[in-house]
Order: sequence, then structure tokens, then C-alpha cells
Amino acid sequence: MKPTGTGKTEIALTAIARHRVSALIVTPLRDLMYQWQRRIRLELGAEAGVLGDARREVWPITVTTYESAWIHMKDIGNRYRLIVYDEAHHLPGATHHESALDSLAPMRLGLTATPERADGRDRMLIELIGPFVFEERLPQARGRTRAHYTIIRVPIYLTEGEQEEFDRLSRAIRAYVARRRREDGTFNWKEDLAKVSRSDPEAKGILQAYHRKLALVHRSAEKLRVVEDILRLHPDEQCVIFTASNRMALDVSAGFLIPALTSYSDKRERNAVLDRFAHGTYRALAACQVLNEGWDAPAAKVGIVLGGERGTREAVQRLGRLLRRSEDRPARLYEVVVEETPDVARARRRNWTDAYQSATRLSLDRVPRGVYGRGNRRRRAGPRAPRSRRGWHRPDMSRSWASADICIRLTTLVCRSLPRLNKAFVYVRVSTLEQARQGCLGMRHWRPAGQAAGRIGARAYAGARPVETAGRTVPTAGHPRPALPRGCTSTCDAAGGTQVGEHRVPGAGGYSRDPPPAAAPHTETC
Amino acid sequence: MSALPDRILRLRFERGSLRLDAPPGGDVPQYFTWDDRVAAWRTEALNHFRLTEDAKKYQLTIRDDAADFFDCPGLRPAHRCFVRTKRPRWPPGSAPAGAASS
Repeated sequence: MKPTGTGKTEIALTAIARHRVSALIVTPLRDLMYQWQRRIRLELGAEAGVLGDARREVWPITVTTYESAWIHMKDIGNRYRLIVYDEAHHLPGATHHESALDSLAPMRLGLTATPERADGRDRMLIELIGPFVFEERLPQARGRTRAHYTIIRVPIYLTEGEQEEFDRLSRAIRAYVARRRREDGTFNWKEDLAKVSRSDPEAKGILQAYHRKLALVHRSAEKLRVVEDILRLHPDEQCVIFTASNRMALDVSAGFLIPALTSYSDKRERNAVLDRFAHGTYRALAACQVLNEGWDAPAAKVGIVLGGERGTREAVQRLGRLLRRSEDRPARLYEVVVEETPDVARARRRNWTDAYQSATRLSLDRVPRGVYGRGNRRRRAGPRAPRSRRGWHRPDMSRSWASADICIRLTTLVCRSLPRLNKAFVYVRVSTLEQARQGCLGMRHWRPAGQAAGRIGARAYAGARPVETAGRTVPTAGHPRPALPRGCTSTCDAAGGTQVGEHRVPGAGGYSRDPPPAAAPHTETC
Repeated sequence: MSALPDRILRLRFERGSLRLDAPPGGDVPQYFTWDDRVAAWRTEALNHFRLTEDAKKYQLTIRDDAADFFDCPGLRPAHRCFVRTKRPRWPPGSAPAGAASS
């Protein structure tokens, strides 16, 4: 077991080269099969056969998928001395494990970053492949073979219309389940409803309502706005956008004119898109679950998770896509979480993995309600942070500025988002920002003179010029946003500076490309 | 079978399993099961390596016709594995990070 992006492929290639054996490499996806084939050609100088994907080349070094291995292993199980199982956690599946039984290879190598399986069948790995010989945890690989990374949580809310529908659907579902429980005490929401829904039209409607609720969260309109903001935050970085559903991937694709990969994309399209992404023709890529595992793109360092499964494996693997080390650039994973929905629970589960625990985690709790959706305003947050946010740094409360530049840029992001609010001002902790700026320069513990004891907050109007404090210029708001680079357009720009369906004055700070208006800066020290 | 002396047992790979042509009731490792259809002992191919270790213990003389491994093709020397290939940068044409910092 080795964490993602720490050279598992190279271990396998070295094993082949050192022992000079015939090898079969089993991968979970067709794309990975061709990726392995390329690596073998590059690094071993040998041509690998492809078994599967309508090709049947049984050569001394062959790459295949778990499905094809299962089909063909009865015929070729005695031809290979070494079998390499890439992403070996796929092997103990219901049928895939038979391919390991049908092969007599004395040398077996299983490579995975996430050996755990929710169904507990990962114990079979020891029987099918062998005992764990090497285990490395993510914190140990940090900065050595793997990029440094930060996870940033962006809490958003549903818009009013969406929230209304969400609440309505929730009420309907709750009422139905409560009624059924009264009739039958053992009524199980998950299993019984699916069974009943075949015959009972009401239950079918409830099931549809449940799926509609999920779709509301997965395709929340605010998520697209967050994507836009993050794409602008990183104008010169390649970006991968992970979505929960195909539909959302297509939404993102249509909104920003970037290619989308879904489970329906055929092989040629997928290869063309991935090649062009690797060569830098495409700036960003939206993908449903196609790119979750094994895909190699060291240049991509920014990831946006718009939604995903409840399990932790997917989260770790997605993070792993960004952690391929290249030129010491740090990786950033933005997690967009819709508050007050099941999204929060899903995000909380992801926190359980050590990949997340060991990361610098920032939570944008200070995004004012209304920047990204209005949410359900009837509920009030208690004095204590909700469980989902414990352990996360708040960008302006944190004492350690490990990635202070993010704090600055995100705070700036918040300020830039302000024209969307009707509110006139936001509090920005200037001293903290100062510290953050110093943190970027490596002076972590610097504090401006006279401010050691307390913090000074400055009130800056949205669209204001940089605030002058203690003789230093602190960027807070009103900077022109960096233009989107080529290969990426947004609906905002297409609409001539106005957000569709929203009252926004063109050029009033925020998202237009015009410089900000020369509004009288109003600063006040409190 | 007939070409072999009686005490040498033949081991074959058949459709994903190992077939050992030994008489029924003989002393074979317990992961073998008797298959009436072919009148031979069978086990999963996975157990091949285990069998080579157990053969001495059970005093079996086996002619191994199961393993039919490919020969390894010519490879570059192993140390070449660690020569990094140059990866494309994004955006194309931009200066490498090292040059920008210096």
C-alpha cells in the first residue's frame, strides 16, 4: 500500500525489469490500460500487448482490465510469471477475484492507495495476492514524492427557490415515512421503499422526490458560481472539476465551454480530451466519476469537488489525482459543500481519512450567507461550530498560516463577491491579513508594531481601494479580476458583464473586466 | 500419462484450474478435490506455487506441464526506469518554474 501519486507504477516497472519476467498488468479502466502501455514503452522500451477493448494481444508483457482478465484468465493464466494488480482494491469484487484464482503466477503485486473496502472483502487480498509488504501513510510521503496540498471547504447554500423545493420535498418524504412507520414499525426507508415503489404509485412519487432532492444538491446553481470564482482565482492553472452526476458535468461543461467526460463518452473522445488536457490545450476538465482513479496528470494542481459519494475511497482517490508532484507546486482541492443538506454529512465522512486529517484544511465559514445562495434563513447556527466544521481552520481565525496566500486570495474572493450582496460592507481583519501576507514571505510570527495584543478590524466598503493600514497596503477588494485565459469562457462574460438572471451593474467591481469604479474608499478603524 | 513412469504425476493447466493425474485415494494436499468427470485431482491455479512447496512434504514427484511462462522480452537496463521523462507544461510556451524564480 502506498499513497496516491507516490510512484506505484514505477515500483511495478522496476520489478519487471529487475526480475526479467513476463508480466500481466491488470487495471480497472481502459484508459489506465493505455496509460500503462505508454509507460512501459517509455520506461522499459518494450511494446505491451493490449487484452480487452476489442483487442486480443497476448504478448509477454500485456495490459488488461479486470473484466477482460476475468474472461481470458482461463486461457492465459499459465503464461505469466508476474501479475500486477493496479488499484488492487477492485480485485476482491464479486466476480473479479476469480481471475486471481485462475492464474498460477507465483509473483503477484497488488498496488493500491486505498485497500479498505466498504464491504469488508479487502481481507481476500491477502489470500489472492499475498500479505502487505509495504505500507506508507500519506503524511510520510508529504513533500517527498507528492505535492503539498491544501483542502479548502467552500460552504454554500441553496438559492431560495431551490431551498423552498428542497424543504417541500423533505416534508413530503418525512410525512410519508412517518405514516408508514406508524402502520408498520419495521418499515425500512432504504429497502422497503424501493420494493413498494414498484406497485405503489405514492411510494414511487416519494422515491422520485428523493432523487429530485439529491439532484437539487448535486446540481445546485450556486455550485456553478463557485466554479467560476475558483477558475478566476487560478487563471494560470489547469483545473479538474469532479461532479457527482453526469448531468452536472454537462452543466459545467456548457457553462464554461470546457470538455466534459462522462460515462457515456466513447473511447476516442475520451482519449482525445485527455491527450489535449495533458498537452495543455484545455484549461479545465469536468468529469463525473471517470477520472477518479489512476489517471495521471501532474500538471493539474487545482481540483474542485462539486459532489460525490459518501465513501472515503473516492475522496482520497480524487485528491490523489492532484498530488502527482511536478515542480513543487502545491495542490489545492476545493470542496463545495451545500450546507443544511446531506452534502454536509458526506463531506464529514471524507474527513475521516488520514489524507484529509493530515492536510492543511481551510473552511470558508466567513463567506457571508448570500454570497453563495441564501439558504434556509429560519434556522440559526448555534454558538458551537457544527460537527462538520470542527478541525477546520477558519481563514481569518487561524493562527498558523501555512498557506496564507490562500487566505488572502479567498478573503479577496469574498470581497469581490460582495457586489452580489445588497449589504454594503464586510469586516476584514486587517491585522490578520497582514500576518497572512507575512506568512507568504516566510515570516510566520511577524506582527505589526503595537498590534501584538489585540486585533484591529477595518471596515472596507465593497469595491474600495486597498486599505492603508500601518503603512502597508493590504489588498482587500476592488481589484480587477484576472481575465479568464483562453480556452475558458464563462456565462458571465458571454452575457456582457452581467450575470444572467441577476441585477448587477456592469463594471461595478466584481466580475466585469473593467477596472473598478473610483469609489471613495471608506476605511474605519474600530 | 502412459509415457511417464507410474510414480511421476503429471500436472496440467486446464481452463483456469490445475489437474493432477494421480490415482484416487492417494495422498495429495487437502486443497485438491477429486473430479469424477475427468478422473483426476483438481484445484485452483492459485495453488500452483503452494503445490511446488508441498510436493516434497507429500512425496509427490510431479512433472509440471502447467506453467508455460513467456520469456521476457528485451528490456532496457533497470536503472533507466528512474530517468524522468519530460512532461508538457501548462500553459504551453510558458517559462519553466525554475527559470521564473531565478
